[in-house]
Amino acid sequence: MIPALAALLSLIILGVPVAVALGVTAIGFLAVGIVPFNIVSAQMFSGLSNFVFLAMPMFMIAGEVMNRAGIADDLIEFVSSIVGWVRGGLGMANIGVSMVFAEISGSATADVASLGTILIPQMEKRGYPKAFAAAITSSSASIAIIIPPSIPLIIYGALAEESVIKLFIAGIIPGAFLGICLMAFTYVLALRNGWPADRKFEFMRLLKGFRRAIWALTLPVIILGGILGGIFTPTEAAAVAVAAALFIGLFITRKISLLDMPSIILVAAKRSSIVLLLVSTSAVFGWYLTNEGIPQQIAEQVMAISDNRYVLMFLINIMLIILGMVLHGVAGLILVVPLAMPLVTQLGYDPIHFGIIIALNFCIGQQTPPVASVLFAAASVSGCKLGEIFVYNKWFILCIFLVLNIVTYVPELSLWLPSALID
Amino acid sequence: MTMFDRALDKLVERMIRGCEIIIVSIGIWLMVAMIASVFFRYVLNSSLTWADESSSFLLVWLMLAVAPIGFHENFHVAVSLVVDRVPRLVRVFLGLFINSCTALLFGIAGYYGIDQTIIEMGTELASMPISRAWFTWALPAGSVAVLLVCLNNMLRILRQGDVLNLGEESFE
Repeated sequence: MIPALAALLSLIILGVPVAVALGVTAIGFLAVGIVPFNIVSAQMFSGLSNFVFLAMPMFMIAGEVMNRAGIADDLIEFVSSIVGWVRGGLGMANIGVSMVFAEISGSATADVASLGTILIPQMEKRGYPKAFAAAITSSSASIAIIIPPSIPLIIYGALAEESVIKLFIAGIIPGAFLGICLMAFTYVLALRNGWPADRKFEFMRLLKGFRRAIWALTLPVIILGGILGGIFTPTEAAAVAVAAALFIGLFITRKISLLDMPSIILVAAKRSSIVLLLVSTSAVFGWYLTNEGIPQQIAEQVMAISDNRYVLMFLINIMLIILGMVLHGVAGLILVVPLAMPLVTQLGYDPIHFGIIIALNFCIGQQTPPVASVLFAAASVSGCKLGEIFVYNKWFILCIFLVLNIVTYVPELSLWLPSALID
Repeated sequence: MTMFDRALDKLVERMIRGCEIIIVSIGIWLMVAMIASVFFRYVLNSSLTWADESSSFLLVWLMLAVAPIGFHENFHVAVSLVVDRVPRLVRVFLGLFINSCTALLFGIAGYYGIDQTIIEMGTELASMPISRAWFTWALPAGSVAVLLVCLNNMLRILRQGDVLNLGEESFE
């Protein structure tokens, strides 16, 4: 068990792309065994043979189209009209818009890039420190990892052989809870620092904002409504989202034309194919692990540490946070799922619940250097140094950590909605 | 810079453009096929099985058309923690090592992918009379493209001391 994992981690630390490291490690250990190399190509194919993976490029195309359709301004105005009257209202609006935007794009970095460029200067103009604006943009963008259509949850569902629909539904309450907790932290920080409210609540402004944002809100309604209502599978919801996004971008906002499609497809295809290559080579590595019984060995050894499942889950969370600091979320997910599933089952955790726990762990990973892809995007958009952003971001990381622990030890938060709607 | 280097550079650039055309074509196919599939299923009450099956297989082509671009532009997911902090000479060696690892993986996957393609020649898709080999062929073809990119990367590293820039693009 140890040589395989040590070899894999060494290659990753030396800078070998994670997808390549997974494949090469498996090849290295296959070479000393009796299994023919045909398994490499066979597994690379079968790793992608899940129909649900088609949802990934589709959601990414829909997100990119909506992004370029210029929906960010309308969403900001609408959410700001709801929460802008509270102290720290613009910060809260930032979180609220991120939650809606996550519904559309499923990508945290896309969220930071589109919203950050508009919201960070606005917040700075209203008296918020720029570093705080960058921190809240970065932290709230990470909600995309848990709110449907979350790409990591699609991958988790395929790897753990769990229903992606159930995972999507399971992510709704923890995602909303995380958003509310981030807003509460923002409110406390606003009170302590004397940051202002945006402006008074006006019903007409809310109505006007809603009318402007109605097209931007269509996609979340289609995705959530279609999936929750049992009308669409995730892949079908993604296809409908693409059609709706194209309609909005081409005919309503008219900010994209058919000539933009090649570049939109290229961006979306690159993002999704990076993940697909990871999935493909992880199938080879996963096959090797299963063939050697390594996940079971890990489960036995971890179970020997303590017989208290809550203590073990706490340890697993710490391990996942550390892993999330050095690996991109999806790569970490692909690495962990085949290794941890037998252990999680033995501990009596529902795999759907565990999917949400993993996603929340990688939310923290997106905010903590050295990898911290989303934090880096926020730093780049805002022009702030990482250290400046971290002064505020540490509070939001603490908030995500608290939510992670509540979601870990209160399974109903993740499992109630799927059981109420599906089971 | 030798004539071979220049020719290889040009070949890789053209191949990347070719991959981009394949990616956009597959993307358009996926969009049209999946939207049509939903329309037929829910509006006309008849399912387009060929749309689902062909799209699933084209996903492999999509991944393998992006792979060489990813290795050319260094945007595959990697940890740059060590690479960013070592002296230039070590980075050069790491660059050669990383490209060798990539070539090893795709060399083996591509070689045995040919076997798989030959086996699949006699099998047709369930929904239409097209050989599955058209889809499994993606692995050898994509692997050749990745191998060429790796060779080009290694020559660039040796020639100009080009070093790694990992994680230039984020996908999360």
